Amino acid sequence: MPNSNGGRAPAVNAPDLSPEALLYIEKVRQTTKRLSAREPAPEDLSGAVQAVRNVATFDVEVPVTSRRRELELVKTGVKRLSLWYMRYLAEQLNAFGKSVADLGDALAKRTDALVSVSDELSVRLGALEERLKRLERVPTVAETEPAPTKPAPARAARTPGRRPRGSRNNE
Amino acid sequence: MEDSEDSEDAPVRIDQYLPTFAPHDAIGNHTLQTRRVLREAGYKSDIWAEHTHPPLGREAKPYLEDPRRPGEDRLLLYQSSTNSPMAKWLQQRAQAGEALISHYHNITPALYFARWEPAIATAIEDARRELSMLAPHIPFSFADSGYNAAELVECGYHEAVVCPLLVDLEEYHRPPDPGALDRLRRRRDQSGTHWLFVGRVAPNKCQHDVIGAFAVYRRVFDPGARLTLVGGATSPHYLRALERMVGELELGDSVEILSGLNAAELLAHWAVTDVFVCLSEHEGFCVPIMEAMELGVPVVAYAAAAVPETLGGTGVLLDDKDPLTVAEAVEKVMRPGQARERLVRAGRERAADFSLANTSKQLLAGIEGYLAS
Repeated sequence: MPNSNGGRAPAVNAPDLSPEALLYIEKVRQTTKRLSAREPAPEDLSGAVQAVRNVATFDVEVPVTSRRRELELVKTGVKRLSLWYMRYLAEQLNAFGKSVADLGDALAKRTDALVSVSDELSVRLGALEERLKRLERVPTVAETEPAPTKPAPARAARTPGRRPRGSRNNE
Repeated sequence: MEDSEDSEDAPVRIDQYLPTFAPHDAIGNHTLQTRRVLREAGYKSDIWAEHTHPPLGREAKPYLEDPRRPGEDRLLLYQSSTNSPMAKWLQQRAQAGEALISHYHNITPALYFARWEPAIATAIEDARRELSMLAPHIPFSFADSGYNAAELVECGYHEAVVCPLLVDLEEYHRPPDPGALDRLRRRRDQSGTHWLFVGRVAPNKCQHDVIGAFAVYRRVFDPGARLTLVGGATSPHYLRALERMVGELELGDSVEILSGLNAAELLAHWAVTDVFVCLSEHEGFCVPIMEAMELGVPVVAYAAAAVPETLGGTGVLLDDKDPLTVAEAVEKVMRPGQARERLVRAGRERAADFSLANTSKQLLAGIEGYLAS
């Protein structure tokens, strides 16, 4: 239960929701989100594109209300007289706005994909560098010589079928 | 303008300055009440405005006609809430040696208007700059809430004393418009829960969230519910978006967005309201919450800005305004029983804190404290 101390509302008390109701709720969430104030972060390309999309619709239904009745009538008259003209302009502007937003979307997706590839490449490059370092590391004398305190193990009998490196096969 | 010469023994003149003086406006009413308090306390007091709406023409004069009064012991009280050339003019008066104080009613962040009304966003940015510009010249200020006071201090103001807006709560107990009340009652008999939100149609008030929560409430809990949004449009573009949203969510005529109601008609709407839902993200005080509490209407509100402070622990406060969360909260409030009665009772007690007698005392104590310092 939401409380008067600003606590978070816990579990859903709504009756079991049908899939249609859940879909509708999701639609409502998306609609309210679209109208919410949002200030995109400086590097938030998707947020900036959404902001463009939000303002890319030009409304020809100009508000005509006024405190003064006569002014409202004048506004209504002007609106009716100029509607054909405004509509013609608005259709083109809306198409332009939609194209700009689509372009932004495409750029945002492309950028996201490039960033993703770049991140993956960075990881792979790092792994390769690490591997290269390991391979290039020259063994030190201490690493190649056996420890002096330990007695050298008895030379193992040669395994049949295996020859020491450098031996010739002319026995 | 009414004659203020009847208080000739007044120790000091306290004149008020405000950019827009309009009827049915919280700051306009507050200014009138402030003048009443000051005159009753024996001060000479007049109102000077930049724009005065016709019904109040006799109550104020254009501020540019305010003569300098050398030698007169006078205090200039600025009702600060928006941008105006008056701010620069007051700064010059202060620089010339006149004493300037202010009452801050908050300025909405420009972020909310940038998308819908760029010109308003620019004006808001100007207002914020003017607020900071005046800070060094205002040694004492009132603020409607602690939230507003904190903003002032952040802007560099020396001292900010909380004094809520002066509102005559008795006005809410006048009879509602009988015709409107009859019509609304008949309609109510055929419908379900009645939601109400009162406030200008502006993006910071987030009426879209109220509509969203209401849509879910109708779908999940009460298909017969109705929502009334009352308030003039500060942003016509946002209003259009709300109207489209109502269509998109298939709410039909269950949502009405009204403006231009007179006080009696608004009271008729309050009389048939079951719950007041406020999902505003920015409020310096929120007078309609106080109205709801006074009228015994339970409040469900989003905990933002000064809203929790105004509610003062009464009402249902949410820190999440997901539509389903809000719908559930309203559903709980609508269940008959002690919980609802407690909310109503606590709301009425809280509203009493804002009675005109209390706020008038606070205002006078603040001014006299400043004058004595």
